[in-house]
Amino acid sequence: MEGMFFQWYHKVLHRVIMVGLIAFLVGASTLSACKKNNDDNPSSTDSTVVLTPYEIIAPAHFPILEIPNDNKPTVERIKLGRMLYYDTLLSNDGRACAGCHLQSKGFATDLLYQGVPVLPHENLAWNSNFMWEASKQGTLEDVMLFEVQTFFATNLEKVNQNTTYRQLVKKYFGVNKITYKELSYSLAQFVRTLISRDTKYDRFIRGEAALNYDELQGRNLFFSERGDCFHCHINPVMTDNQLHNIGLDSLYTKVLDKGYFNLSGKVSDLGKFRTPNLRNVALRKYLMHDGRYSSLEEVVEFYNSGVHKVFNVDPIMTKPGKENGLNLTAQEKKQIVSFLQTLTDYTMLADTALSAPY
Amino acid sequence: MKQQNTLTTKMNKTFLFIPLLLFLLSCRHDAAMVNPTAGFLLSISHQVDGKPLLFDTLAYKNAAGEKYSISRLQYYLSNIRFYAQGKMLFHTDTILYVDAAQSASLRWVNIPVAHYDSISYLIGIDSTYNFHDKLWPTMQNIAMEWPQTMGGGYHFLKLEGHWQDLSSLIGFAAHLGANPYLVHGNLSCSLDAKAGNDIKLNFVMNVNEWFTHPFVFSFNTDGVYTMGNAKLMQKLADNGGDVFSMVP
Repeated sequence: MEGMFFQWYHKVLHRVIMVGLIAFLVGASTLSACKKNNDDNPSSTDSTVVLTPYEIIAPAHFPILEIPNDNKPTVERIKLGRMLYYDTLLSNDGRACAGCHLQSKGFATDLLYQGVPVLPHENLAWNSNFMWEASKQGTLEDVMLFEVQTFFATNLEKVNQNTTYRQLVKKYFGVNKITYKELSYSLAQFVRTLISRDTKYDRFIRGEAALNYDELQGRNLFFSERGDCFHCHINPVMTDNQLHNIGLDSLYTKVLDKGYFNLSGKVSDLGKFRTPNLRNVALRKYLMHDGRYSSLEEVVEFYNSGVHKVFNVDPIMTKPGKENGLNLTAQEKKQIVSFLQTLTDYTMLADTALSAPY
Repeated sequence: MKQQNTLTTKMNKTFLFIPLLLFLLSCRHDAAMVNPTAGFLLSISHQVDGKPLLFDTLAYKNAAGEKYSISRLQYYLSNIRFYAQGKMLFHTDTILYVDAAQSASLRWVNIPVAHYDSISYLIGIDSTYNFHDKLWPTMQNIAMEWPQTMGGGYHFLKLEGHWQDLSSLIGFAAHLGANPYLVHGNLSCSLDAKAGNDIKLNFVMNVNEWFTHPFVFSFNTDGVYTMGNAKLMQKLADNGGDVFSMVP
C-alpha cells in the first residue's frame, strides 16, 4: 500500500515539477524576447558591434550627468561624432557645426547668425533647455536630431554615398543605411565631451590655484546679495538653464526681443531667455540674446544701472536696495569682470581631442 | 534488486523532502506575516485658497489684500514621521525636492500596520544635511544651494512672483534658508494602515498660508525680499507650519 502511494505520489510530483519547469523556461524565453524587442539601441542586438565604453569626466562639484541608456558614451561613437562635427557634408551649403562653433572661441563664434550670437557648445551635457529661447528641450540627442534634420536639412542620400561613414555606422551602430538617428546620436556623443572643467576658477575650487585679490573680491561679489549673479548663474555650472526676464528691454517691438513668448504666446513670458553659461564668456564678442553688448564691462554696467523694471522682470533683479541698480563702485565692477575672466578655459581651447580630426 | 529498492527508497525520500521544504518555506512566509506591513503613497499638490495654482497669473490675494501672482515655487520636504497615539512608528530620511511646476510623489513600503493619527514633517533640510554639497548633486539641488560665501547650505524655499502695487507690478522673492528658519509642520490624520494595503496620502499646500497665519505678511509693509532678512525669514518660517493640509 505504502509502495503504491509512493509510486502515485512520485508520478504526480514528477509531472508537477516538469510542468513547472516547462512553464518557467517558456516564460523566461518570452521575457528575453520581449526585452530584445523593446531595446531601442540597434547595436545591442547586433553581435558584430563592439563598442568601447568611455568615461566622461565631469568638472568638480557638477551635477550628476544623465545620459540616455541607448547612447552611453563610447570611444567609437564619439570619434564618429567628432568627424561629423567638423564635416561640411552634413549641410547643403558648405557649413559644418564647427564653422560656427570654433574651439578657439569656446565653441562659439565672433559672428552673429541671423542677428543672434551663437551660443557656445560647452557643458551642454547638463542642459535640458537649449537655444536662447529654450526653443529646444530634451536630450542632446533630441537637439542634434533637430540640427541634422531641420537646421542643416542633411541630405541622407549624400551621406550614404560616403563609404567611410557608411562603414563606420555599420560598425558602430550595426545598420546598413545611415539615418538621422545615427548622425544625431554620434554628434550628441561628441558634443557631450565638449566640457569646460579646467578654468582658473575650477582650479581654485579644487584647491590647485589661487585667485588674485580682484578676482577673489569679484567672486565674493558674484556670490553675494550685493552682486547677486548667483541666483541664475549657479555655482559652479554658471547657468541654471532656466528662463528669466532680466529687464533688458521696456518695449518688445522686435520679435527677437520677445524671447520665450515667441513659443508660449503668454504675455508673462515676454523677454524671457535662457540663462547663458558664463564659461569662456570673456572670449565672446557679442553678449546677450541680440549681441547688444560687446564687452563684459558693458554687461556689468547694465546690471549696475540699466535694468528696466518691466512687469515681469525677475524678482531678483529689483529686490530692495537694487530698485535703482546695484550701485557698485567702479572698483567692484572691475572686480566682477576680473572674476568672469577666470572662467576662460584655456585647457579646453587647446584640447586636441576636441579639435578637427584631420 | 536490493540496490534498486534502495534507490527507490532514496528517490522516495528525496521527493518527500521537496514538499517538506516547500512546506517549511511556506511556514517561513507565514512567520514573516507575523509583522505585516502596509505602504504609503504620498502625492503633493498646490493651490491658493482653493484655487488651482496657475503660474504667472495675477489671480491671488493675500491676507493683506494685495493681489499677486506666482512664478516659482520650489522647496524641500523632509523628515516625514508617522505617529500612532503619540508614538512614532515610522520615519523616513528622504529629502524630497518639490517644484510646483512638476508633479511630486513618494512611496514607502514596510509601514508598520497601525492606526496613524498624526504626521510631522519639515519644510527645508535639518542641520545634519544643510551644508555645502551635502545633497546628491542634481541640477535642482545645486540650484537650491545657498552660496558658501553666505554661509552655505541650501534654500529651503523659493517662492517668487509679482504683486500689484498702485500702478505697477513689483517682484517678490520669499526665500528661506539657514538652520534657525527650518519650518516644522504637523498634520492630524486618521490612517488605517492595513497589511498589504497602499494608502494614498494627498498633501495640499495652500500657498497663501505663507502670508497669512499667524502673521500677516504684506509685500507693501513687510517687504518683497526675505533672503538675508532675519525678521522676515522668521515670519515666513512661523507661517509655514500650516501651509499643508491633507485631503482624502
